[in-house]
Amino acid sequence: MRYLIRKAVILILTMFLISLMTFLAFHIIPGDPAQLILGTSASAEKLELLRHQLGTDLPLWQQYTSWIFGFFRGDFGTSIRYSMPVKTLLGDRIVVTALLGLMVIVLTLVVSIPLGVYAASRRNTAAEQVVNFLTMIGISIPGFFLSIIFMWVFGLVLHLFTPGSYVSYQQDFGAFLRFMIFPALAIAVPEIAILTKYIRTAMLDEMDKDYVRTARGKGASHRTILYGHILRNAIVAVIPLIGMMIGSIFSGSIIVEQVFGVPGIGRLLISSVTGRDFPLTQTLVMYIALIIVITNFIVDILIQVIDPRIRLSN
Amino acid sequence: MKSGKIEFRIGCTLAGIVILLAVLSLFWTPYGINEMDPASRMAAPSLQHIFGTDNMGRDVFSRAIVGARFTLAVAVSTVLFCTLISIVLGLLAGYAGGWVDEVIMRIIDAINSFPGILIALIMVTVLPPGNYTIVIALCIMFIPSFTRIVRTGTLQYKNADFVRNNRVFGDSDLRLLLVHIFPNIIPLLLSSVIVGLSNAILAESSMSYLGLGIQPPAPSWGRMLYEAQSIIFNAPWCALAPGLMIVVTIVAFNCVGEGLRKRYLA
Repeated sequence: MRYLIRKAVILILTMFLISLMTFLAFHIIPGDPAQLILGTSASAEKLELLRHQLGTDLPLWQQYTSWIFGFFRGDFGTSIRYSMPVKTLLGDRIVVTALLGLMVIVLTLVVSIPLGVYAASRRNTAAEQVVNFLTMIGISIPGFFLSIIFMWVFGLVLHLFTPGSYVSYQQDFGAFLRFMIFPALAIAVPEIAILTKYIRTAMLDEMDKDYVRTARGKGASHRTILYGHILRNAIVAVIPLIGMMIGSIFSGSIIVEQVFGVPGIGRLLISSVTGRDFPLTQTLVMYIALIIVITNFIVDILIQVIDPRIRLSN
Repeated sequence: MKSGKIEFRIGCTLAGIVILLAVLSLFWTPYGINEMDPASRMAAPSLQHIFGTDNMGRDVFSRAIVGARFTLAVAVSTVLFCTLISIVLGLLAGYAGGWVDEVIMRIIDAINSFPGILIALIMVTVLPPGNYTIVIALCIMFIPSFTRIVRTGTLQYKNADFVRNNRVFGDSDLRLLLVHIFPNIIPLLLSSVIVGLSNAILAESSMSYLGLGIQPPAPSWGRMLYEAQSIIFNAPWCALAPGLMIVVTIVAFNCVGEGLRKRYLA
């Protein structure tokens, strides 16, 4: 319980620092946003009016408090470029990115757990070397290069999907999934590589322990020992990594959404950056950072629940 | 031979080749990087153009090795700059302890909770565009992990017997830090710095792909891939050449870093 309180305090402190850093980053820029929007030829009255609308005529701390209280009330401000509330812009896109992220997580777990177990069970063989080599390559391929390769090979050569023909999930969920499997795979490859490597290492660490020998002595089958005994212990060591994966999945989707033309949060973020749409960028950054911090908090708590050894050591 | 050693050698060889090509491009490229040859647009790789040509008839190999130079220059300056800042922060946090440590580490944690690419995106939005912008933007991404390594090392050695001895002999805090504690941290920091290089290359090429990194007309691997995307069906070599160069370079630095780490831990 004390651990929980300590974690919660750190969570709140981190959220405060994140909001402060995000806010300051966008408010110490020299230059006037109002001027930026209206251009240099705008009249003084028009500038004054827009400054008042944007709230940039207020002292910095008032701007911060009104932004942050607005944020937690669900009032995310207004985009300069799209001239509409950020909330409306977020609506659908957050669902698209969330579905994409979910597909990535499922793909990653489904591939890397068996692969990691396999590599560990074939210690010191050619098969292990092959898996090691593949994970090394997987970690080193940039997401956008992989996406381009997928579009070329699966899209243009094998005709498994049509590049650029995104189908909304509300329109046809099946077609949506058939299209999204490729961006999801492009984001998942580095994650699969990292997770496979960790699972393999964790499995190898567990393999020499006494309980494995005991299980073998009792006559448990190779399969039961691998999946029923070793994996169950190894997976605990891997769970913290899943919290970290959320962040890198977001990073991956920022780039990959751009390549495949998926209308998600990542694509909106890039267009807000290139369009210098400060209010939109600021809110998106805060939004994404919060999702990551909160998921990590939940993962930390989950580890406590799952593994009594960690729970008791606190 | 131990696996770390093989890794290290393969890494050094590959990295050496890429660095040599980048240096070579300072003095000589087969064709000018902006030299267009309308007669041979999108030509497949041949003896004249070993990586083929793009849709404007420019030689892909020439552009790729000049791109190597820009990408490596950004990666190296990012990592150097960032390492210097992290050494100061890490030594300070680890040695001073108390509230100094608490403040530095909370800020580091907060930065760390942003995905790296997000920090880079904020910085390029906020800073005026230019080639230095990308260096500063990427630099901030790596400060948390490097600072943590230096801090952990400092904590580990600050109460070691040899440090205490020298304190008794009247060495100043600064001398203890720089002469007695810091040299012990170097090996572990070095391997992280080299792995950091490959992360910087990955991040730089992603940013350049998005058009937010190295500014055109300077060629960069990320931008070349962006330009190649629309002609991938007719001229896949335009994408494969810079793409594979990125992968090879990243693999190379990862191997060197991992090899060093294994040697240090062994």
